[in-house]
Amino acid sequence: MKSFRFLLLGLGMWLAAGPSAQAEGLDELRAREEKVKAIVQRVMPCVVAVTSADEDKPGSGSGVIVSKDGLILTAAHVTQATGNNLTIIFPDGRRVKGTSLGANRTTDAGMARITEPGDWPFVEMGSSDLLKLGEWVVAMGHPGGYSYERRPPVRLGRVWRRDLDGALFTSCPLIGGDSGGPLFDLEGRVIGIHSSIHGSVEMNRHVAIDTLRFDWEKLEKDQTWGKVSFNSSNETRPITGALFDRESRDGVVVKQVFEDLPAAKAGLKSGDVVKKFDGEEVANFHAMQRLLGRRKPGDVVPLAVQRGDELVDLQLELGRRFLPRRDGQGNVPSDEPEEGPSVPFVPEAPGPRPWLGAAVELSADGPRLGLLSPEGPAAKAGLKPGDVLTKINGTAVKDATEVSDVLLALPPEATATFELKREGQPLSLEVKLGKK
Amino acid sequence: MKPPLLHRPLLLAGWLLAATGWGFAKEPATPEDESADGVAAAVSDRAQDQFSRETPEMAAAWSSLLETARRSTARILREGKPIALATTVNEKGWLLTKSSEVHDSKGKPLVNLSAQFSGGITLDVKITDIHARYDLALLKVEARGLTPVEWDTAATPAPGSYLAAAGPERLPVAIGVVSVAPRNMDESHKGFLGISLENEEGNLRIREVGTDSAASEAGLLKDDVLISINGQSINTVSDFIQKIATHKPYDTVKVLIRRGQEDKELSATLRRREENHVGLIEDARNLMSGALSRNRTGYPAALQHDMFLEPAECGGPVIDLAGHVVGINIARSGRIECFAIPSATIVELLKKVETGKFARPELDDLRNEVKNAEALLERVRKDTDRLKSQLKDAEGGESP
Repeated sequence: MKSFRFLLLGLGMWLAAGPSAQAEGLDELRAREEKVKAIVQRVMPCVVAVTSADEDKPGSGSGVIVSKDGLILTAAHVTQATGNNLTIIFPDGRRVKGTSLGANRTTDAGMARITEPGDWPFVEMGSSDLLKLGEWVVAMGHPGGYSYERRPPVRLGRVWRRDLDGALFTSCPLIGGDSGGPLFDLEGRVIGIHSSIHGSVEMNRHVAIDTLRFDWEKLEKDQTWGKVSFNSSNETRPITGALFDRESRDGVVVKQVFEDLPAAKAGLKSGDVVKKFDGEEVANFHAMQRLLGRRKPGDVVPLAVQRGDELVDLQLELGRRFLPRRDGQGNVPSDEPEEGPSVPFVPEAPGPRPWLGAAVELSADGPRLGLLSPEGPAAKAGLKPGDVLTKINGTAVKDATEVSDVLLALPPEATATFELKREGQPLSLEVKLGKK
Repeated sequence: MKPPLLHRPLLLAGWLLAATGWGFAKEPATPEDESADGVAAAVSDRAQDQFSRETPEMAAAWSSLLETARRSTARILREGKPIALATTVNEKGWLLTKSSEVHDSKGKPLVNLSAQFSGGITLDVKITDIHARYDLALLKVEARGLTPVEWDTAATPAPGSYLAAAGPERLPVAIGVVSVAPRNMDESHKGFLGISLENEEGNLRIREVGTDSAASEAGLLKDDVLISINGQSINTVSDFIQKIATHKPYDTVKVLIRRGQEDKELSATLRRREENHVGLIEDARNLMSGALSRNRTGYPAALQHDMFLEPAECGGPVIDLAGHVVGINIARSGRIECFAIPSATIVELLKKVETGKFARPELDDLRNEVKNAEALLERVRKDTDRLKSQLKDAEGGESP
């Protein structure tokens, strides 16, 4: 029940990005099936097993060949370190010699190379930054290690989540041995490398191909760095204090700037388009996130911003991520050991803040209440799941972000007037907020 | 369709995916903050449902293709509780299901079984035969005029082809794709010891011993160092795998190990793979992904697919996008894999269905061989008798 509580603790937002559920008739299914069958046949020969040639060295997984001269993308935890002797096994059982190149243990991206001469079958690489949530993808690999008795099993699923480093989460189920294997888009291009699994069958994590590309030169030059981690939004990662449009291209559109936070202090405004971040051009949100990930709180980074016809230079002093629900001594209460940031954005210092006790979802009609905490302020005030909020204390609210903005501007335990629609009928309720 | 799992735990632990377990790591992770820069989102379950690979629209699209097959599908109930699906194979009341789901763990048939058909009719069920290698059971209900499934024995859906599992209801039980073309997974001729090894500075150390395995019965322990099998030294993990594979189940082998400073020779009676309850790391990773079928490998012909199927959802027909029945679901085998027995194989097994027995051509072949051998023996015996009497005659002529 822990995650249930987690869901209720904050003002949840349903982050609807990308396409919503589209009509899926038989024609769509048949068209997708044709694509999947075609790419599976084409890419199969390039999906290799990557095993240690030295019996005393660890690691056994999968990989994919991406160049004619035998460059292989795989996972960092498969190759472990630079310069290990590898045996590369093709789906037809042919074995060739290889060696491991660089590895980024933090993102779990790794590289290897076939060391025998030859023209090897290879696949193209696609782009993970331009992927939309909901896109259909194909996973292949050598689960359980290479087997003469079967070809690499095909799995079809969808990208349903991306973390701040761009890592992809899909419903293509993975298991031991798949690590390092390829995730393909429906054009047959590699867009991810299998890394880890997290509980339910739909929680499968893949290194995004653009994250790997970001490190390309270091990986090719045999560098090995970082440490194993599955969580990119850790305490040391800096924040900007602004919301960005993840779909934007040729720069990153600022959707919202939060008061008193680094972006606002730097003079960033909503509607601005960030063209350069930290001296480098940024094509999209994920590219900017990778550059941000290299910095730490307190660093000052230059921004080049398009504002209307003007190009504006700004200096952004990065902020520190807020760590929620700590007591006065800075300790996380022991009964909630691992739930991490589950509350809406709150400026700087930890402390009690207002609590609604309802998940707010996005709907076509506006911000809609989902699950309510049974004994929470929302439930006590008579709010119900399905209620669509229109105004809080006279301020119009169009989405979940605006709901959290208005509420978080209030002191804990304040009383607020909620205007809403219940089954189409307008209704006004007084809600005494709680505190967390 | 399964209901959306709203209460699914968020990233409780991450598991890296190297096959051997050597490169294996586990680390607790905290839920991530999906949105930019810490604006909160209590979220990912919702995103997961929204972008599910089995959307209501897809399920609705499949329903038109399942219209025939679902009438041939029944749900097997035990005291009202669903335990498996079954496929009607003959209008006179014969059904096929997954045998291990209608037997207890000791192989004893479960009682008080009934079959609930798509119209809601529920009938008592009797088990008339089982086929152990395919884990199939033949069932009988007292009814006529049932709708038998139409097998497509020519269908060979290629990897990547869509499949759906039919249930008695309008919507599919699950949707997935073909992962691997049908193959023979029968390892019944191979012996298994039930250990995993790691090579530690040239020593083959036992990393894990299956909890109820040939190895545990023989007294092998974790951290023992393997030296030889039947006097032949074993130097690498692949040496071990190759050596053991040359032995049959129930062969007894001498295993020489070093425990501490002491060398010990133990005697191990190998088992079939499925008789080793290994419970190794791989199983743990599979199990965290949901319940698995008790019997889940070793089928002489099986197609692998990637549906998210429950063990109690095996036994029903599998349909392709042409609406053809390509097989029967036989196992939820792991996080990534389910198996279905292809239609062509099923049709062979059902050649004598109205006798209440599976056809066993392999048994018929053996019986024929025995008959031939007996005939040969009879001929040899007659020849021997004839020769003996000739000899006797000749000896009689010689005597004075």
